[in-house]
Amino acid sequence: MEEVATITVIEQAELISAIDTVWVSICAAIIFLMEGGFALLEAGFVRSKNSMSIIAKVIIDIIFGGLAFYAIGFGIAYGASNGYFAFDTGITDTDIGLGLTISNKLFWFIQLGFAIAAISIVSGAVAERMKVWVYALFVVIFCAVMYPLAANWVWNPNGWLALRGFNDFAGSSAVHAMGGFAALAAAIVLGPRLGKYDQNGDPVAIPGHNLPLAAVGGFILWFGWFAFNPGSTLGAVGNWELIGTVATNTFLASAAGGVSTMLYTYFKYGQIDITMTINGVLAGLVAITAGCNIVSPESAILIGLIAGILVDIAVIYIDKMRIDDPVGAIAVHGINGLFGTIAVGLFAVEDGLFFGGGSQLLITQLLGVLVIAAFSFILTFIIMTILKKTIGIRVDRSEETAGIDAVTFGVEAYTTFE
Amino acid sequence: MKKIEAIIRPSKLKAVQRGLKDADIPCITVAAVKGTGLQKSYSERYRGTEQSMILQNRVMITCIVSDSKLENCIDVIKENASENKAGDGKIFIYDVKDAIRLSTGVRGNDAII
Repeated sequence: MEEVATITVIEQAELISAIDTVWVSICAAIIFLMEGGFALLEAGFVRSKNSMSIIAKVIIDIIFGGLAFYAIGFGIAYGASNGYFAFDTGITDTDIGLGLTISNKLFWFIQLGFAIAAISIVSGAVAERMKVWVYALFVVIFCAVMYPLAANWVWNPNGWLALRGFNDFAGSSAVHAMGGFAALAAAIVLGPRLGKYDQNGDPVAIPGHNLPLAAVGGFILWFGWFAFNPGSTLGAVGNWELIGTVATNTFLASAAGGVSTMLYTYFKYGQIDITMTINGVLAGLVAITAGCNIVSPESAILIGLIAGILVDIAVIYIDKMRIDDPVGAIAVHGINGLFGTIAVGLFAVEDGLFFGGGSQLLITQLLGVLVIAAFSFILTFIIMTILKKTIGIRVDRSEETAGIDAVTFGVEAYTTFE
Repeated sequence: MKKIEAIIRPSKLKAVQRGLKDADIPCITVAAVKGTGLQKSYSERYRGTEQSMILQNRVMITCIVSDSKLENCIDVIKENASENKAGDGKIFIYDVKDAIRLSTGVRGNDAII
């Protein structure tokens, strides 16, 4: 009898791992597809003369960033942490301490999707003017060291924020604020595109060349989010209720973000702004990412509504501050990563300020996201400034005028004849 | 032999094409163009920033006709392309020295119909 029971237990563990592996590997593959969403969104929002260069940048995010995250990044994020960092290389064989029922390698693969998503936020903000090899260098630094440090603090079982009870379910802070504030620093150091501001310093619109393409990118990102957030459960067995909550909250916040942007732009400008509505949906998604596991559906809608307004105000304000962000990455990911993380402290069903949980969680959320945003901003600012003073980070004037596609890559996105 | 360059509203292209075909002037070359004339200036908003001096989409039809068909051609375009409003477009007429049909090498008036 005893022998039979042992076999049953072993088989059950096998079964759990098998089910969880199917769940996580599907989610990881869908998260990987989000890179295609970033590529199309960014390509559509830039001018045709630079549209292939932005696709090259997203490919660089994946290939350079991916190898860097394999060689060094994952070890720093999920090795044996002293609370702030870990020293490991490659994918560790030892128990990471998260109670994983999937292999460490599959866990690495889903985490890879998070790392390259974070750096892809930066690729949009530096569009149309950054040197490609210098960008690749920054990608390696970001995915090998910068992002993994934030992931260590937030998600490593020994990370200092994890130990304080910081709740960032799928990365409003570790992925989106991290990427968004790196994007902000990079855009400041790079300076605006030629012609973005007139003699009086007023912003000039530089319309994207293919808005339907940008919309397709937005839809792919939207779709991918239903793997990004629910997949962060890292297992399906025993999580069926949580996965439902996360998926529902993720949708509700995105829809609310779209609604509030549509209404805001309609009443402000007299017309609905569709490209801003895409950003509004994404803003709702970014904002709910931190708290999608522990807020109510009503709170998710409220968070989305606020995020949709925040992104509209932020895009205009960032433009006025003479920071040129062609795709709105800073407003979507930076500002709403910040807001979404803080919102957990307000709306969490058990510990949120608005639900009688006191201010302790709110303080932890504020502290965590501000540290991550400041860390990302300051370090990126320093690295970019050093690169600017030494090897130069910006394509020269004639290349920027002619288009990076033609000069650096010798390619045209749309060949006119035949 | 004359060259007619007509800049018209894109929505009128089909009607003009049909009219010219019915008038036995089937050969046209069409290009999408942007421009501005006397119509009110037009602005758009892109992601919250106003863009002024937006150029309007128009279609430019080029056709080469014999002198005898010139007035007929102009009438057809006027009839089918006008809304009697600013922004309808314009017609320009040029002299043409010669024409050569590539497939047969025929020159002059025989080459254009």
